[in-house]
Amino acid sequence: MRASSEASGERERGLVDWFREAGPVLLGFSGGVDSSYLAAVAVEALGASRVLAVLGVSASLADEQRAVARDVATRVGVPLVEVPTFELDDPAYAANPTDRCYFCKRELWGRLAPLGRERGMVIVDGTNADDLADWRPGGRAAEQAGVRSPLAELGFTKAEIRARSAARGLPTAELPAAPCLASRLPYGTAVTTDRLAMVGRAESALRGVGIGGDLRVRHHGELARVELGPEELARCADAARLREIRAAVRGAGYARVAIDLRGFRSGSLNVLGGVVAA
Amino acid sequence: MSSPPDASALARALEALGVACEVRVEGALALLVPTGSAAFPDPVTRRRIVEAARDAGFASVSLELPDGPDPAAG
Repeated sequence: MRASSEASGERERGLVDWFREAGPVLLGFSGGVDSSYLAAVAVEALGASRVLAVLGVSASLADEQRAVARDVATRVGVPLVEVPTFELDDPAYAANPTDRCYFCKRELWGRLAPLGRERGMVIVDGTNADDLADWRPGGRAAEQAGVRSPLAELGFTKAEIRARSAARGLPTAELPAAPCLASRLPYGTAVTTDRLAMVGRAESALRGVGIGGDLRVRHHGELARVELGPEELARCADAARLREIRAAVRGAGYARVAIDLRGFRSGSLNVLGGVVAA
Repeated sequence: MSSPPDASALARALEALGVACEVRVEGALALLVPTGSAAFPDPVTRRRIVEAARDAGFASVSLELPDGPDPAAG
């Protein structure tokens, strides 16, 4: 354990050196575990005046996630700029193909990279070493835009980033993953502002009745398929709880509500869409 | 190439588990609609249902919460 902690500390020192060598950075920021940790180390290495965190804002960003990003940026002490993005105007994105994330990130980096270049900043993102093994077509857009991924380059795993975040007292150390709302729509289902808003309302309503931990509302037309973490799934033994869930999701506009019996798992629509194996 | 999901096989497995549900197919998703009223499946039964659904070729299995005061299955 100690050896592992020492190796992790050594890697973090390597990250500080990486930033000092790279110089000023513009960071694609979401307020999630990875980009928040990266922001904290960048500020430590370079000073806040040489780091700019940029959050892409569109209908696919949940209101709660936007609020979290603002809060985390304040706590980390990194300057934050919010930039509107218009991926829904791109028919290639809106058609929701399996490489939808590529078109989203192409739009995002197409807006962020010029901001960095005009300031003489290196563009970085929070991609980590684990991500490289996942289905992440957005990575291609980042490559094309010349984005660097220091966490992946230095071999940081997600678990390691969480541990280092906890050691720094970052509020994001235990934060559940929060991918964009479009990830709740099965591939081939067009991404529209109305559908994204419906998913967002349903998840907000479920949080409002006290659903904690991992949560996804998967959109299947008039049916909402709710994925819960193990603790919340166990609470479904209470019929009153099920009624609360049903009422909350229906109030968001869904006619039918179902609970996924396996519970939350990241990328479940990739499985349903045949992108990855079950 | 994998074979298409088999709703009948899943329905038979559910019957053997004592789970009273109709199986509806939505692509690779099995949607269980309760035909009775009992408790939400316990963790062991849920795991067995998930395994049965996988064996029948489904990528995912969900329990619909129907209208009525007691949306449950079993």
